[in-house]
Amino acid sequence: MIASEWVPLAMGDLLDSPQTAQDAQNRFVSDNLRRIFLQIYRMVGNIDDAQDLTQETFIKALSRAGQIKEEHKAAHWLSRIATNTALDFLRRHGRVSFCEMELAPERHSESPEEILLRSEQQTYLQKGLETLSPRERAAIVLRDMEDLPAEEVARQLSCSKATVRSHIANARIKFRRYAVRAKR
Amino acid sequence: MTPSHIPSVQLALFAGGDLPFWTRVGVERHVAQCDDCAALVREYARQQLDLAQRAEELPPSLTGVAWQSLASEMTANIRLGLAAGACVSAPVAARVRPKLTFALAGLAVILSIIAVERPRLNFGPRPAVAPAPELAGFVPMLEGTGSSVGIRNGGRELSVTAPVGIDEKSVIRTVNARGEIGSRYVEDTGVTVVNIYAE
Ligand SMILES: [Zn+2]
Repeated sequence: MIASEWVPLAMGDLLDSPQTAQDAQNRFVSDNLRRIFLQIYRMVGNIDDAQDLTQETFIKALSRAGQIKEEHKAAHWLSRIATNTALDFLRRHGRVSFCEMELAPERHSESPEEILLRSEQQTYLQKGLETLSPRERAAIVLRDMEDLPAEEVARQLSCSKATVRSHIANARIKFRRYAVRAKR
Repeated sequence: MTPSHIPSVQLALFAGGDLPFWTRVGVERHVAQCDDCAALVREYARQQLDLAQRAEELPPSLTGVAWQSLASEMTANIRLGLAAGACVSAPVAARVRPKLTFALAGLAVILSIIAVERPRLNFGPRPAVAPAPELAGFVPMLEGTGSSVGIRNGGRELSVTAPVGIDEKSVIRTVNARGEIGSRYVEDTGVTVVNIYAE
């Protein structure tokens, strides 16, 4: 774990009451949960690990943050912790297992063909991400899916802008190659 | 691809607006005159758009109610994890490695899950517990898990124990006014802190 992950936010003044702090914490979790879960899921490729790492991310973040006032900064900061947590996990386990390809439960508004199509598209996306290295995957998820500026992606991956550009370019090229192969 | 074309790396970056200014100007000039490179740039741009549109898509097995229930579970676990972290007193927390905080969080989560999922989990017969008069209507559920938690006195006492091999004299046990119990002992790998609390 790198030390820079723990740089705290500008937390603002102390809170008026513990209840306000609890409310702010709950709101912070509910506002960011889905985004952070998906970011981690794209990187590690399966729901169980993504769940654990998402929880770990929020616990790390909130146990160091009394109050989160600057929401924009907080979102990036949280995203950075998520990226580090996921990369750390991948370093330790050295694997990505994309094993959540089972069919979704049927929705009334969807025909069986639509459900199948949706599932196939997800499989296609995750399998494409699987062809990338962990850092390339993180780079393309953050830059192209999360739409973060390249500078922020570099910060999250703790590397220079030149290095992050190389990760982004390689990821786009490999994903395109995969897409071309998949269409054949 | 002929040498006069722009390398793929630059085209991929150009399509996403990620090239530095001067390189971008050069690539822009070439792409305006080269159909092959322009076609590749369009492909990369389309791919980027496609990925952006899928950013919000949940895995197929997590749509609708399944996501709601996972989100609730994660939210509850996060709260428990934070509460478990808060149980560790400040001076101890400073010495304890971050991993330990999560081990604590894990323990609190396990205890909570056991309490919540009790009807679905089968741990064998549970000893009868006689509730104190002031707790009439509240049925305590005492469960032991791992080597650190034990049940004594016919299920009436929950105790924190140290693993085999740890000198009992070196184990510090604490009970506080909030009803939390804990134990601390030194192992080869560091200081282990176990805290248990009831909600
Ligand atoms: Zn060309």
